[in-house]
Amino acid sequence: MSIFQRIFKVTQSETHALIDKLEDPIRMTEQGIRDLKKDLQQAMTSLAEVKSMAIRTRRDADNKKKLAADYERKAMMLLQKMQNGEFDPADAERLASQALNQKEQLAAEAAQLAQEAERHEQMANQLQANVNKIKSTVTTYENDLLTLKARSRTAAATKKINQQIARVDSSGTIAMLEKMRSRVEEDESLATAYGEMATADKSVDDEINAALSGGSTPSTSQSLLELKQKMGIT
Amino acid sequence: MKIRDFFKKNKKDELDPLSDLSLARLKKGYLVDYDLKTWEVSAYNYYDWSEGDISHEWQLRSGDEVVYLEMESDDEEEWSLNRKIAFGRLDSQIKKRIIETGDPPEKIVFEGVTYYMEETAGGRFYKDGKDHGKEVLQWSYQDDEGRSYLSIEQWGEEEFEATTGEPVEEYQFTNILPG
Repeated sequence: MSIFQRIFKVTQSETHALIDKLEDPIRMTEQGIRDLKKDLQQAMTSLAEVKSMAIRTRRDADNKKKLAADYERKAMMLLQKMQNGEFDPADAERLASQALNQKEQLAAEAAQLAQEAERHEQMANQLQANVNKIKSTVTTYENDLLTLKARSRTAAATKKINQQIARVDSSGTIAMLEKMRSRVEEDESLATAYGEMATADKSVDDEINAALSGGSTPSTSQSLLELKQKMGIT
Repeated sequence: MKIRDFFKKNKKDELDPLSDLSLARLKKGYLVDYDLKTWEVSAYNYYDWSEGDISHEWQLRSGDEVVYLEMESDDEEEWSLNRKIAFGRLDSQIKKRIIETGDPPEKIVFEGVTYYMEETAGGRFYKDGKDHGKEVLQWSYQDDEGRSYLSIEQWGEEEFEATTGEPVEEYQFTNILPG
């Protein structure tokens, strides 16, 4: 391998290491979710357009249907007027026929629009299912990210604690605890020593009381005899 | 405009398709599914009853049908769905009584349901959220079980409107889409 190739390889590996360091998986996931939400928003906009179109088409179909019914009603009224002798039969029939033609035309348009509305509605249902799928996916991802963030924080805290327990961090809490422990032990030893000294220094009263309560030493008995003789007590 | 403000504005305008599309944030042109139909929000109005007491109202249209989705925030959000009825369908004595005494009766029977007066309020109505409100008086009634509502509104000396409705829950409204 030539020197240039080696330099190139070293540079390449260093660059990869740097990029690995820069990549924060949490931030990258957040960005991924943001991108997904943008896609979702676009899908929702398209769905809204199709749904609006379906609503408008259905409304148009209904209106045409109503208008067709109106023309039929008018044709009937014309024929009724003719029957009652209130209107010229020829004119009445001509107008009634025209009204019926209008009715037929409108009814056909209404039927066509209704079919179109149905197609739009079917399309809207399909799109709605897709949008719901994306929504559910994004929600799952968001929840996963939340859980992973919490787990990541817990893991970091646990790692820190375990490091301290393993005394990896000698200048940290464990070292302080050790220092404190030795100081406590020192204090405890000192306290015991003081306690022993306190029992060694008995007062005369303590001795008298001890003798009176029983167990007297031989030297004490001797002194007592001497004192009795001195006082003439047998 | 500073570059920072520009980006701030863009961020503000961004809509979170999951958390921002809620019933309380419906806007004119939005679509929402309820009772197996898709409804288009054709208007947003609100009533200001003073002292921060506000009722929000969305006019929803599906085909020829028009309903009014209302939200009142008391301790918690309360939703109702109302339909306008011709005031003349109520007992003719009601109008007479309001004009004469200033108040309708405590009890109203309509289509076999007995409604009892719950509250009276006076405030301003803001159509499409516009600046200048219109004075309105409202008497709210509900049946024994609180499952049916009736409301009378007075807009002028002799101008009245009535609605009937029922309580609804937010979960009943699905697939909210921005228009």
